[in-house]
Amino acid sequence: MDVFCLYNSRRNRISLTPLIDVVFILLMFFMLTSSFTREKQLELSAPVASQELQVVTEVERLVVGASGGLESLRSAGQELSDDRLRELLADGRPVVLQPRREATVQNIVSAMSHLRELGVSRLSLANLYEKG
Amino acid sequence: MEQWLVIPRRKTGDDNIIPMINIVFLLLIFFMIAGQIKEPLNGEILLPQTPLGEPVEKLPITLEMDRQLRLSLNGKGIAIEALEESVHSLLREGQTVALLVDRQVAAADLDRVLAVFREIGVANIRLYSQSDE
Repeated sequence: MDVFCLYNSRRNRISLTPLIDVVFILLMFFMLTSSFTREKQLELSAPVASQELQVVTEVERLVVGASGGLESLRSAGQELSDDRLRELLADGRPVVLQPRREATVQNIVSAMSHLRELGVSRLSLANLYEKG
Repeated sequence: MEQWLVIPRRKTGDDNIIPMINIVFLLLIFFMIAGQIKEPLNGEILLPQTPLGEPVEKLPITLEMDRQLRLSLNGKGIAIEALEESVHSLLREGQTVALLVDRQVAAADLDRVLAVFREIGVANIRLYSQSDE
């Protein structure tokens, strides 16, 4: 009987329950506070500067349509294809975007990133395109 | 006699909990590493989506515009009429203004804000966007 008592002696084990409590609270904290969207910043050269640009160098003015397409000033209303855009912007002129009244911020941003992908480095946002 | 030498295994609830703790720990580590903690945006602003853009740099002047076209300057609500004066008093020479605008805002409404910036002569504006990665 003594032998049994020896092996059965209760060691004081640390209970896991408080540990789990703390871990759960940490988990909740990180789940609720963390976000997975990465924020970025897009440089909008000032409209003020773009007016100066216009004087100094020739710029290509493009209209951002309500569907996010790009139109040239001369043929506003007609969306430019990628090939036509590449042709227009081949000489590396700065681009000035003029959004239509009903275009959304998402349209403007999409148009900007589209132009960046086409290799436009100097890009600015001007006032609204009111005609047409 | 030998039977007495076998250590009786205590059945505790802890044994069943250990796999659960393993999983919870894994989740905890995942959220700690993958997520990033940042202060939530004022109001309901869904930033425009784009894969391009530079990493965020904290700027001293931050203007937010939500879907209902409510403006807040550095976290405090402001009317568009008062914007010019407030930004003008905060602005230092050559400073950049951060602009957080909801993706659904129309260009006409954005232009009202940009017109104020043009008036003051804000040289640089940084428009916030987000990319889901």
